[in-house]
Amino acid sequence: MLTEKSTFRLMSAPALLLLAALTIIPIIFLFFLSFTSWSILVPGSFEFSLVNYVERMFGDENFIQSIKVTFYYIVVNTFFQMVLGFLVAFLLFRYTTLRFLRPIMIIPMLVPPAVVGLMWKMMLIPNLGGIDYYLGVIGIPSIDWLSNPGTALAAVTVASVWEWTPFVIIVLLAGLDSLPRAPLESAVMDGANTWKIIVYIIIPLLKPIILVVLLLRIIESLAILPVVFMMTGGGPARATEAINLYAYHVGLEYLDIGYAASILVAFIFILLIFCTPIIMSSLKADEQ
Amino acid sequence: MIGVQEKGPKAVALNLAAYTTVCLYLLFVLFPILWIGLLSVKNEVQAFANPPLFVFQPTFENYYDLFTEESFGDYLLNSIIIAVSSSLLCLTVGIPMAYASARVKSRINQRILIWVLISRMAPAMTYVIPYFVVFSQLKLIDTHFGLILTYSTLNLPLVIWLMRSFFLDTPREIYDAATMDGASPFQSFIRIALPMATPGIASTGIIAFVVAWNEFIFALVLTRRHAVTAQIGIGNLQKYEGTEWGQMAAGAIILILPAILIALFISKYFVQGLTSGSTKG
Repeated sequence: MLTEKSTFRLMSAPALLLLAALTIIPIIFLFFLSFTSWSILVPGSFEFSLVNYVERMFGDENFIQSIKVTFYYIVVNTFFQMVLGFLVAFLLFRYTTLRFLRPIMIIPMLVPPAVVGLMWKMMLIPNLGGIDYYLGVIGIPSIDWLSNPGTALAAVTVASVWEWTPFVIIVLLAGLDSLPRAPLESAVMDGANTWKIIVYIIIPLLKPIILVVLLLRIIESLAILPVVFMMTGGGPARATEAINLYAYHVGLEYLDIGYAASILVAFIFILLIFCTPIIMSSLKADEQ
Repeated sequence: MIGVQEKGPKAVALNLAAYTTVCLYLLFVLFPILWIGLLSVKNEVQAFANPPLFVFQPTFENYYDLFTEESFGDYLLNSIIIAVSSSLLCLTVGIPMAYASARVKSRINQRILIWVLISRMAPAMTYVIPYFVVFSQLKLIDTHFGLILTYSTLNLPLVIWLMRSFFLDTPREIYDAATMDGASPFQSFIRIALPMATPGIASTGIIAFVVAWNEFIFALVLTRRHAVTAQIGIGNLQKYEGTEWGQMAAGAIILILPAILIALFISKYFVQGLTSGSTKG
């Protein structure tokens, strides 16, 4: 008979091998490709060089533009999701009569991202979508939202808030429900107002979960790609094209594989820059 | 604060503001879905009516055309085959590892689990370019098998982490008792751990199905014609010669259906799966 230890090893082996083949090897391959000038359309272009990192990236205006859009999505989309998510989660926690609304909050995050994009695109089409009509009722003139760089970005933010605020709400609600009751009750007894309870009791107690949600939202902020792909295709004039969509266009439409790989390596570094401080403070919060 | 009634006009105003905020948010969440639902049963004249129509003679022509004029049925079938196979594959391969990692307490085990988590966090686009290059060589582009395989990147870490948290809920004493009675480690997995984790397997399976059903980037890059999923197929309804918006709305409603069903009937399992992953270490 097998020992316990070797049984557990055997049970883990298939999953680990499959996952290693599907994740570690491709990432190593990606790094390797990023140091080549390989383009499928140019025969014999498979050569090792640093040209992607040294020359191409910094002279590439489209790359710089995609970095700007990436920062916008990470900061602005995440900010609105977190603030609105916290507000609604708190209200659903505070007013227990609204408990029946919780299942509804799940719907948007289960809607396929491609459909989210198409849905908001249709909503913004004059007459067809209705948004135009109702904005007209309150006196806002009709414009073509998706063909103007500024409004197209705002429209993507609205769609991202629609899709992902419910995730923030659900996880924060689970956190709020599991908070110890004693500090909340004694604060109410002492006559603290709602605002003070939020700032001095709920936020400090909830900090570990808030940090986890924030981290997940930042990491996944560019998972907005399908929504953008369907709404604007990255346009107008690359105004909504974040770095992963740019890499898609470079690598899989122009088949410039080497350069696309180096763009994605840059993308991984940008994510690390945003996530490391949050992971650090999350670890600190755990230790306390 | 729960169960304590604040009084006075200020409290009334606050309550009113709170309920208004929640109602507005609810409107924001439900209005687009409702609108697209209405759009899917309108004909073209009704769809572009100004002001918008809420009372009209509904038609199911859009749904009918979607399956007869377009090959949406094929896309849906592909989506179902791929999502079901991917979920089953990941449950089969992932559950044993989840169980093992819940039973073993070692440093290496912790490290492996963190690696599993990080591999799930990496952006899909970073995997898809290597997949594209390798799959072109292996002739796996545009095959069901290729997509099912790549969806393990998304679903296997999910199954491992979620199922592990369910196995951790089972008291250790139960396994010790089984060992005392002469059960091998594998027998106690099959006879004890699995039956006890059935609700967990159900909710994990549902989440894995939804992840595969909703996936976009891998399907976009790795399919051409035969294995195109509904997420990509619905985008193909946008045409240069003019888009049938009614058909697109109908397709959107069909693709949203699993989400609505889950929210209405099994939201408890879903939330349980979701939050156990993010609030437990």
